[in-house]
Amino acid sequence: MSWTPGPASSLRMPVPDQARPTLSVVLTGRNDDHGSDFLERYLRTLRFNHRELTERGIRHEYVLIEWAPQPGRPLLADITLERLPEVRDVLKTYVVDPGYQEAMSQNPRLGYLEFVAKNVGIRRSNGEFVLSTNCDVFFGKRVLEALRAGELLPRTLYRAARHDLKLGAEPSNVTWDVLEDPRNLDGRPRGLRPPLLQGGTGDFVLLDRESIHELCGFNEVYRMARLGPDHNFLVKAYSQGFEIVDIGGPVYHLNHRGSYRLSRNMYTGREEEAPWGDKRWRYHGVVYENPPGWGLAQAPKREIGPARWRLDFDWEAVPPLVDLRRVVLPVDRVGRPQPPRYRRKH
Amino acid sequence: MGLLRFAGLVTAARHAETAEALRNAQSRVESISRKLEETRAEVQACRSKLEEAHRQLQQADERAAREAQRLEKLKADMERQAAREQKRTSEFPALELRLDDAERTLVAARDHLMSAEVKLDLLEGAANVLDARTRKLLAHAGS
Repeated sequence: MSWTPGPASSLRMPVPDQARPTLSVVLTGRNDDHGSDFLERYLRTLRFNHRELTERGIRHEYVLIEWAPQPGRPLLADITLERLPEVRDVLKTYVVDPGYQEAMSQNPRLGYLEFVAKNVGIRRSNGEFVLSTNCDVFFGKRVLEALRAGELLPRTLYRAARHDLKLGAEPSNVTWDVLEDPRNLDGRPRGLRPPLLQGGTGDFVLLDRESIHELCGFNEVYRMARLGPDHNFLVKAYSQGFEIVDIGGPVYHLNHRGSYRLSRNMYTGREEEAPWGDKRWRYHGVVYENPPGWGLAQAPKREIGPARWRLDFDWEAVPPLVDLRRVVLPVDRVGRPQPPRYRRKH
Repeated sequence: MGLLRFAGLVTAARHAETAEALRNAQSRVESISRKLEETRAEVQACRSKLEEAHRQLQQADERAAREAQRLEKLKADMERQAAREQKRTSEFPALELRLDDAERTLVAARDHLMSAEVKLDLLEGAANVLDARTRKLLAHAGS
């Protein structure tokens, strides 16, 4: 039995395929000590989530995109396998040639095209459902239960609220007691506001594979900011008629030095200089039509190990530097909430 | 007595009686004259009052005429206003449609403005990237 693609299947639950995992978890990262202590945070999260998924019998794969790794440093994929050999059977890694970062950059201040990297993983995911998340996000019990019980519906975008944990709150051995202790929360958790349920979106976007492929992943046309493409994805999904639903429980994120939440005010008044791009771009009002080759579909793939590939550089795989026709307005908003009122940026 | 009367004479008593009657008559004439004068004065006063009343009546008539005119004007104004209101009321649905239309146009304009801004951002970003690449190439060629 397999998932039957096409419009006729749009209202049916995906039929489990024994060769296909229930869940693909798409992650992107590289071994550059981003935000300090990246590696440890990543490994702790991966260990915890893998253990919890496995204990509940949720068949899953990790799709790790190692975007533009820095020369002279061990690959994140190698470190992962060395430190967490238990994930060997569920880990697929793609190492993306640094040439793509340079060729696709529209903003030299942005050293990491995070959402293009996530698209690389989404495009190559094999699960019935695809979860795009971050390397330092722990899944909550409700998320795991929804996956275990097979509650998820197609053409429905699931969101989870993010609970930020205080710096230093997390011991090396993460337990549910630590995650769920309200004293470890860094401030009051933000709720998810309908209809888009935005807020910490990059940490949890869960959708069936067919739908996320129909949406062609995150925005690859506007590559000038790291802030906003996740929200922009919600706007696109909403305007295309997808349901956006709260999965019913949180995910947990550990605050760290360099995280946007802690350093967002550093660039007030000079937003265009921020390393995450100008956060004021119109991600809430304009959407995109990614080119057919989104997610570096045409990048030559070279096997460098079991379940490990390298995407070599090829200009054929690089989308145009500018493709204005692919910046489009959201479809019908009749009877739906309007985007915020237009305000001048400068 | 008859002889005296015949000779045209009267007795002293009769004379005194007649004189008394004459005095009385004169006194009554004087009294009546006074009353006549008084009545004449009263009549004069009444005439003045009558004239005053007549004048006031005329003024009241004039005021009433003016008020009637104003009333007519007000009535005409109200009728015009009522007609205008009725016209306005009948125009409400059309105005509402125009308002909806204007709102839709505003939303569309805002959307297009945002789209134009994003496109300008992209063009600026691309220009900066190309500029940097060109400079790098030229510097490389020059060295």
